[in-house]
Amino acid sequence: MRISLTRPLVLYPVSIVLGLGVWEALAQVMPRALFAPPSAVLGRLAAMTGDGSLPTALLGSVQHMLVGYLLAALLAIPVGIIVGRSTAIATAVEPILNAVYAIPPVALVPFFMIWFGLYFEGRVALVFAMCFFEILINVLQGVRNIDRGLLDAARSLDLTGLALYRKVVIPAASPFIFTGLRVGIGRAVNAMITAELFFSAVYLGQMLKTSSNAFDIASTFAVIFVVSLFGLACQEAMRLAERVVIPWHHESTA
Amino acid sequence: MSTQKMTRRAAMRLIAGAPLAAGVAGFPTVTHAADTVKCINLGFVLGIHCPPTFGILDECPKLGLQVEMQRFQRMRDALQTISGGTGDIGISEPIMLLQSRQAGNDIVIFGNHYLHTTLVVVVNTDYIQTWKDLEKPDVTVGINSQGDITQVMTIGGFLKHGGDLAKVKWADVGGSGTRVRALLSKRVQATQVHFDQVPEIQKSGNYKVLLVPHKEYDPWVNEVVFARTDWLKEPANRKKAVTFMKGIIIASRKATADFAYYKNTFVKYATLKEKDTMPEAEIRAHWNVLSREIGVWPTDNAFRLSNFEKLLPYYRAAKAIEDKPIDLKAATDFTIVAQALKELG
Amino acid sequence: MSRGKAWALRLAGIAVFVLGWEIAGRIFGDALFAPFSAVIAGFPATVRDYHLFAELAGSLRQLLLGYLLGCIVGIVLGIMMGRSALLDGLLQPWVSMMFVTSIASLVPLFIITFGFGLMFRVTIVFMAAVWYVLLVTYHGARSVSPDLLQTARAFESSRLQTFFKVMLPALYPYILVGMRIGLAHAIRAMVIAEMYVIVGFGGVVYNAGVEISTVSLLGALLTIMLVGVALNEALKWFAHRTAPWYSERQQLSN
Repeated sequence: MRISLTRPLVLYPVSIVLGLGVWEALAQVMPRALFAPPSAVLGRLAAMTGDGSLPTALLGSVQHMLVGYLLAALLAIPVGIIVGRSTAIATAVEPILNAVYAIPPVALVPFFMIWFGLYFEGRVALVFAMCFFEILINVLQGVRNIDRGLLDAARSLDLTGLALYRKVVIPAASPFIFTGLRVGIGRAVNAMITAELFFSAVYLGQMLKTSSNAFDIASTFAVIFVVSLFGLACQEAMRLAERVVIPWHHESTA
Repeated sequence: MSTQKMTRRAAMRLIAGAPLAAGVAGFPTVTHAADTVKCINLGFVLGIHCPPTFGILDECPKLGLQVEMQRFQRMRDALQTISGGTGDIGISEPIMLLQSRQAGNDIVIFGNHYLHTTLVVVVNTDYIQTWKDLEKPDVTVGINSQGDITQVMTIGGFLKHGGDLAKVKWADVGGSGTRVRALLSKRVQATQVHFDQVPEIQKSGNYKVLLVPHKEYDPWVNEVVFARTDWLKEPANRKKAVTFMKGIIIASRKATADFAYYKNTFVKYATLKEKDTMPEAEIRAHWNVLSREIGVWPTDNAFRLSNFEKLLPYYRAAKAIEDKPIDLKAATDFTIVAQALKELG
Repeated sequence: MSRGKAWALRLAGIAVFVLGWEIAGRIFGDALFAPFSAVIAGFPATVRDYHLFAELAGSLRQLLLGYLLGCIVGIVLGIMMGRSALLDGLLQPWVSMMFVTSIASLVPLFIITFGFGLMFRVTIVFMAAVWYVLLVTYHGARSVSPDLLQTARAFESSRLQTFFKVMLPALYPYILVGMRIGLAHAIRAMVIAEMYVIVGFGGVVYNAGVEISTVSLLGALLTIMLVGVALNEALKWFAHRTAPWYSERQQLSN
């Protein structure tokens, strides 16, 4: 546990520094109108954090992202378990699931606007649509992937009903559930900014639009970078949660 | 395109494409022959765009200039590709180009693509009767995006009628199809649509046209032709730019005079689904509005400094461009169109 | 489950979906959300006027190229990161950040770098698919139970043997999920990238969106749904051919 905790702490900064080096090198060959070097971006980042505009915007953005993500997770996990456990339901919904999943959610924005409006509800709907399927498919696969022998053993121990789910199905499927939650939260962060760009521009999306309208590439990159960092933080939080809930999943790499 | 730029592109491709290179070996590299230009243009082609498009793609080759046209959904990306050196001549809305100059992008406008626009401002009369009603708290005005032509053309009309801008709510909705749907679903109460969409809209509720740009502005400049300043400086490129404008002017003259010519350009280039099945009477009716009523294809290109001087106050009022001085003379080059007109006679 | 029953269930699922679409369409009308019947009735005209199938065929070629490259790179890197703490620490932050960054914000940069042709569209698809395949595979590689690996070592298997006999079978379900999610994102990215430069199938979606009636737009989206289902079936068939033991081991076979 000790080693694996310290390793990312040592390696992540090394990785970030190396990555910034590559970025700086790229900035030397890319046209200035399109690509800002990390030094300029970090400068803008400091200024935008200093005057409070960036934290305020991030706080606003997090609202629809969290609501959309929680709704998606709360719906996708039980639905995934139910569908995954029942061959009949799975057979019936699978074609529709695959069909709808292929549509780019952005292409649905015009319809979401009509159904949910241009503001908060519309943004929440897009976040939901952009992370629901990723969570669902992982949960579904996790439940289906449970070894038949394990379930037979559980049945021979007279585990039925909710107890079967609590003691066998959910623990056995949990690595997949966590993968889904992690992939899902990454998608939700992506959706957060997408929603602000495609619906009425607010918060970080507004900042992104304003800076890009002014052809201020450093500020544009600064906002994108903050969103990416926030996405990284969210995913790391999910990894931490996973480590606490299913420790063996983590220890295998140590 | 300078050799220095090609090397830089090649270098970028090498860096970014390394993981893919193995899989897509031998993809064609873009080469520029002496008499070729790469043109970046807006995505959809309505009746108003057809003659200039035909001029660029069909008349220019007759004058010895091959044009490779790449279309884009968002004008801003098109502008970036010109600044980045992937395209030579671009077609864009003027406001964005002036914004871009303010931000330090050295580009220059050298002609009109066409004049005026087919967009009109339509309002839901259940909410809005006069311009003043745009201030009402239950009214949202749908636009393509903040600070673009759709917002500025609406703001200009609103200000002329003494409105208070601070009270108007705007919503970025996107392209004209999406704006119509937002209007019909009552998510917005006013927006900009193409004039031929109006009858269809009026079938499903109480709507009226509040603003017709060519009546409100003298003139309205919607789409202009531009290039990087350093690109246009080279004599060989100037020659290409002159030929490019000649193609547009030839097609504008013929399309204004001759319905059959217009119809041919429409059938060839419009991206409207119904273009093949549209009755000739309807195409002719559109042509009448475009060529006679509005006059969207001026025979002399109508590219003048005064056009921009008259519109600049509206750009500023809409905060579409920053509140600092802008050198319109440096942002424009009138010699290209003048030379084209001289050569055409 | 018998073949007949499975098909009955599938058809029932599809029927419910179509019925819901039809009812919603009747409520909203053609301009806002055309009913299923209107979309089907208008479909031949949509196919003819927009050269739908010809555009689709061209787009699918680039889709498959980008997707396969994404799968190969994603699986290999995912396994390496899952099993090597050093690689994990170095690459994880940037993978997590790239995964969040929306493809749409990268499109202009890619156009400058690659131009408008094949390379651009293949790269976009690759970028859309690779992170999902990578992340899910990575999670799988980390979750291989230590007991399993210890057992393998106890039997003195070589590293290579352990990899092919123990790791790969344990990873297989994860790789499948990753490839499935990656596929959906590849399809979506193809459409989005093409909508940007108005070529191929995405160009059709864009042009159809300009019409007031949604008949053509929904017809195009219906086509992409069918493509999603068809490619998913192809993926399943491929999975079954390459690892028949997997679907047999599963508690619920498809």
